[in-house]
Amino acid sequence: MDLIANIGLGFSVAITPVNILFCFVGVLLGTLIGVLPGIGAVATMSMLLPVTFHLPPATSLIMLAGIYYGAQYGGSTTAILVKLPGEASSVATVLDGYAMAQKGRAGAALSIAALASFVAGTVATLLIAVAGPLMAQLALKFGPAEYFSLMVLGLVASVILASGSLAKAIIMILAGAFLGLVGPDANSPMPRLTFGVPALAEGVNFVALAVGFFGISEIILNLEKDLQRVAPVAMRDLFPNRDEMRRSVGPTLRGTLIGSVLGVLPGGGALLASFGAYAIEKKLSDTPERFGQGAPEGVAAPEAANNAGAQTSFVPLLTLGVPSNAIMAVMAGAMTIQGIAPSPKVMVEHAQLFWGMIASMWVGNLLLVVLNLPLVGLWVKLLQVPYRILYPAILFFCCIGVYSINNSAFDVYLAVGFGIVGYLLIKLGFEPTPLLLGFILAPMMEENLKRAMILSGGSLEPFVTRPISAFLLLATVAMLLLMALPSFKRTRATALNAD
Amino acid sequence: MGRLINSEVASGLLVIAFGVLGLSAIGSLEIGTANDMGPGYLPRLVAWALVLAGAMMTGFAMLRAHPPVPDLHWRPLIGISAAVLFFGATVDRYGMVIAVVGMTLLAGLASPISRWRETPLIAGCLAAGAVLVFIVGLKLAIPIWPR
Repeated sequence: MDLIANIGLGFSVAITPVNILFCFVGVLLGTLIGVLPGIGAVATMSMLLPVTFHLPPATSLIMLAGIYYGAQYGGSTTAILVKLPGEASSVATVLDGYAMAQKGRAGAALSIAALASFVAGTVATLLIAVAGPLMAQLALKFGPAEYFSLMVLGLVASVILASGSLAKAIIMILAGAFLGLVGPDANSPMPRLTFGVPALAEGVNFVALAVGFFGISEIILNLEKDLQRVAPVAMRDLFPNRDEMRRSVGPTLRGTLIGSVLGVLPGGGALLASFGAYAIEKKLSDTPERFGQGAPEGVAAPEAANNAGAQTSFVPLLTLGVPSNAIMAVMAGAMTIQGIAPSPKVMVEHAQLFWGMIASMWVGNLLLVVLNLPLVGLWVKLLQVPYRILYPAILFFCCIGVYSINNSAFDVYLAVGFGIVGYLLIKLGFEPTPLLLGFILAPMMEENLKRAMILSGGSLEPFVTRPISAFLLLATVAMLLLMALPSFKRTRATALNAD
Repeated sequence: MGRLINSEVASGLLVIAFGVLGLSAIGSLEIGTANDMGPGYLPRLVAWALVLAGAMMTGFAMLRAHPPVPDLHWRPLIGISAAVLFFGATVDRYGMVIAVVGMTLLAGLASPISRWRETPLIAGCLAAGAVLVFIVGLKLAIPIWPR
């Protein structure tokens, strides 16, 4: 059995002491930033990219991945205890999680969230192990036309998922794409679009962009808001009772399935998964009126789904080499720093890395359950650290993260510029996430488009005559049509503003 | 004037500005042809798409009422930007300690929630922590003191 051998190989990498240590560091850091408001996974992972340079490839990716799913976990802790979703993907958990906490079932809600996440993580790990090689097989049939069409699909999907105006999301993709095209050009030795600035010859620094848009602008926005905290709810027993357990089983399994599927889709990931799962449980329930009043189903389903989605969203990156959301864009950046170009070959040429990372996700989920339930008290304490002490520290990490990538002051100035522009854009209702995806995908799209056009002699025909490419484009068109439907517009608006 | 420039019109104009900035960065880069694209092909496409999208946004927004342009809060905007700029400008020449302390003090000015008695304390702790973790621990090539 290949599968067992592969998983065995994975665990042999994941449970070395060094990798367990960094997996632990990752999930702990992730939980921390998930608990703390005003700093998210994208910014944290970007800031830490320079540090990962000193680690072996597998170790660095294991740690970064840990930050991602650790943040999901921390985000749900605060969602339940203080009605504050630390991450966007825990917004759905707030509805019933906080309601449970108010009824004195905070401990039970946390346990259900943790167990549902763990079950989902386990199943998703297995699914990736099974589906990964199949996807990689499919990837062998991918030529430039297929890659291009896949990325178009991903961009369109990310537009749908962006909260707020569709037009603004498209504009953010375009702006990101332009920034992504700055610098090196595949066919000529001359850097382009640099305004003659030598520091831009290698392109716009990804960390400066991400930290500017997600770190610095976020701090400015937080400082103008009055960051009021809700006092944490007191916890009594940690364990769910029999009725709550029974109610959680089905939603956990369905949530896992929904999350796994939605996670793989380009542009998908944890956010869509959690909302989708919540909505479906509410539809399926005999007593939908209990939702929002503290139904354990409403905690189990989105938590299972966001964790499963978080994990399976690694599949497109690891098997096709195409990042499907902003977090995966950061992971792609980390791989590039390590000298590993994201591509379908990763699974074969870096089998240890691939399977090690997958196995480490399971290890990380286990660590989260074992460590975090006892640590909940500590996280609650941390929540009480006032923002006036927190923000200078976060700002420092922004600075050092950007500077230490190339020891370049220019990158720091660039981050300030992006921070200011990001602040303006967010104030005007533009969401920064699609920008990051456009930034990462644009150079890849250009390369594949160029190649496809050279192969076809300038004809667009292969995009629609090659079956896989045609299918992907058809899916894109279907999505665009769906977007134009008024009923879809309404559902999207309610799903994305469910608070 | 005040009525005409609502938040959507402002958004549109900003996007047009992005597009124009992009076009000026492109200058006379070679476009090439569809089967042999030059370095300017896709950037030009994207920049013109931005200009067009911005123009459409502005146009449509003028026809309908929209919320006014949101108030910008200058104090955090300037304070935080200044703090980061200070860090960038000083860290390689004057070292980590000065860069971090200056950054923290400037950041403290960015918001009324900061307390003048706490800020120096935070600055000291951050500077000490920064030196320990990043220079002693991770051995980043950053001087501690001015050189």
